[in-house]
Amino acid sequence: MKNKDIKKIMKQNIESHIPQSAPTIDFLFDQSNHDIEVIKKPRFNINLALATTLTVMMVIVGFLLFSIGGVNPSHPEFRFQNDEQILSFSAVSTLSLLSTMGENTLVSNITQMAQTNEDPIVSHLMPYLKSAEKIFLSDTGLNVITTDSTLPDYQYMMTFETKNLLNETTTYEMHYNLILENQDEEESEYQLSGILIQGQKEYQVIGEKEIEDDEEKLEFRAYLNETSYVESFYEIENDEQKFSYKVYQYGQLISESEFKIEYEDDEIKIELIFTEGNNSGKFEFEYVTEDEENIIKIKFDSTIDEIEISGEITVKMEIDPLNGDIIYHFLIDPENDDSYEYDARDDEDEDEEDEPEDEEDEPEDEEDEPEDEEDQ
Amino acid sequence: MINDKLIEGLKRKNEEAFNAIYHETKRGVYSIIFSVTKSHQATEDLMQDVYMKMMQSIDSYQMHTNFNNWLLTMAKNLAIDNYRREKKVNKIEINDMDQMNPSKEILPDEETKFQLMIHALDEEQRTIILLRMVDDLKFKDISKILNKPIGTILWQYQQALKVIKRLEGLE
Repeated sequence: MKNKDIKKIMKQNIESHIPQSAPTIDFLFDQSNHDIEVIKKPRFNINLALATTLTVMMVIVGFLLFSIGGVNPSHPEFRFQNDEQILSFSAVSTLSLLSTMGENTLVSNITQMAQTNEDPIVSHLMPYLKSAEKIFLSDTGLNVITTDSTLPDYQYMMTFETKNLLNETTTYEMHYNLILENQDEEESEYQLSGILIQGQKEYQVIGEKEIEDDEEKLEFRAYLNETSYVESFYEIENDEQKFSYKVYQYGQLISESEFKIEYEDDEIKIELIFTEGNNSGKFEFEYVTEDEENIIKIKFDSTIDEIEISGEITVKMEIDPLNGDIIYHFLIDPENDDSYEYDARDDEDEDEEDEPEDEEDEPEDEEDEPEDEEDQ
Repeated sequence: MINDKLIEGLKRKNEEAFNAIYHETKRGVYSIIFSVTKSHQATEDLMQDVYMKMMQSIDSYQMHTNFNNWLLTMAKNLAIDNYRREKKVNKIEINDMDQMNPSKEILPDEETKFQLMIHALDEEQRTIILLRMVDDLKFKDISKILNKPIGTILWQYQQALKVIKRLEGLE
C-alpha cells in the first residue's frame, strides 16, 4: 500500500465522521458583530500541486548542477562543495558510529579477528578511522548523484560512493522525501526523511538544514531504532570543517566526538577528539603513500579504562587470500611500551548484490501530490 | 485561515467567528481526540467539550501565538484527562465493527482497513499520522503540540507508515 492510499483512507474516514455543524454551545453570542472576515483556506489544486512539484524539482536539479559544476578534480583541496556532499559524509560517518553500539543492536560491524582479545584503542579508533579513510580517498569530495527514487515511498535518491585504502568502491543509496519548510531566492531550509541503504542493510535517517543568524546548521541522524541513534552536526569556520557526533543508546548519550578536517600545506589533516564515559582521546590522522601502498598514520593520546596511553599507529589494508575478506592491519607503537600488531576484519564495506526488497514496486504516480511537499 | 480578527471576534463571543474557527480547526481537533479515544462516538462527545473549553479559555490565549497549536494542545490534554478520569475509552475491536455505523461514503472494506491501521499504531503514532494526513499539519507544528523533537516526530511518522504497510489484508 502506498502512502497516498493510506492518506486517502485516513482522511476519508475521519472527515466522514466530523460533525459538519459547529457544536451548539450555550453561550450568549454577541449577534451585533457581523463584520468578521472569513478567509477560506485555498484548496490545494492541481496547478498548485504542479507548481510545488516543479519548484522542488528545480531545487533538486539546482543541487545536482551545482554539485557537478562545483567539483574540480584537478583542485587538490578537499572541501565539501554542497549540502549533498555534507549529507553523504554525515551518512557514512554516522553509519560507522552505529556499529559501535554493542552486539544487541549491532547491524553493521567490525568483526574483530580475536573477539576475546579486542584491542581497546582500535575499538575506539575504528569508526573514525573508516570516516577518515573515506575523506582521504575521496580526492575533492564525495561523488554524489541525485535522481528520482526507485522506491515507491520516496521522492528522491542520492547515490554516493566511497573508497577504501585499496581503492575499492562502496556504494550507498539514500532514498528520501524532501520537506521544504522555508525557501527564498538564495537559500533554503529543509528537512529530509528517508532510508539509507548499504548492501542489504537499511537505516532510517533524517536530516535538517536550518539558518539562524546567517549561520547554516546541517544536522543528520541515522537510527538503529527509536532510542539508539547517531546524530551529526556540521559547521564550517575559516578553513576548518567540523562534524560533531553524539551517540545515543537506549535514549542515553553514550559518547560525543568532534571530527575536524583541515587543509594545510597541500595536505588534508584530520583530528578527532572523543569522550565516552571516563574514556577520552585525541587522534590525528595523516594519509601517505609508500611504495604505492596507501597508508594512514595516526598520532594518538588517550585515556581508556583509566590507562593513559599515547603513541603512533600505522594502518594498512589487505585482502585475506583465504576468503577475500578485507583486513585492517594495525601497527601500534605506544610511547612507553613495545610495539605490537593487530588485525581487524571489516564486513561493512562489502557491496551486496541483492536488491532491496521494495525495489520492484512501481514508482508513485507522478500526478499525485508529493507526499511531503505541501509544507513549503 | 485563522486571523487576529477572527480571534478578536471569538473573544467577543461572536458566533460567526466561532463557526469560522470551528470549520478551520475541526479536522485537527477531531484527529487528536480520536488518536486517544479510537472511538468516533467518544470523539464527537469530546469535540463539544473542547470547543466549550476554548470559549471559556479564550481570554487566556496570547495573541500572535499559533492559535491552532494552542487549541490542539488543549484538545489533546482534554482527551487524555478524560481517558484517565473516566477510563472509558471505547476499545472498539475489529470484531465489533459490525456494530458501528459507518457513513454512507465509506465502503465496509475501507472501514476495516481504517480500523486495522488505527489499532496497529500506538497513541503517539496515531496522533502524528492523523494530524499529518487528515489535517495536513506541518511536522514542525506536530512536534510543538506533542512537545517532542522534530526528529522524533519524523522517525515516528516513518515507523507508523512501516507498521501500516506490514499489515496483512490491506491490499
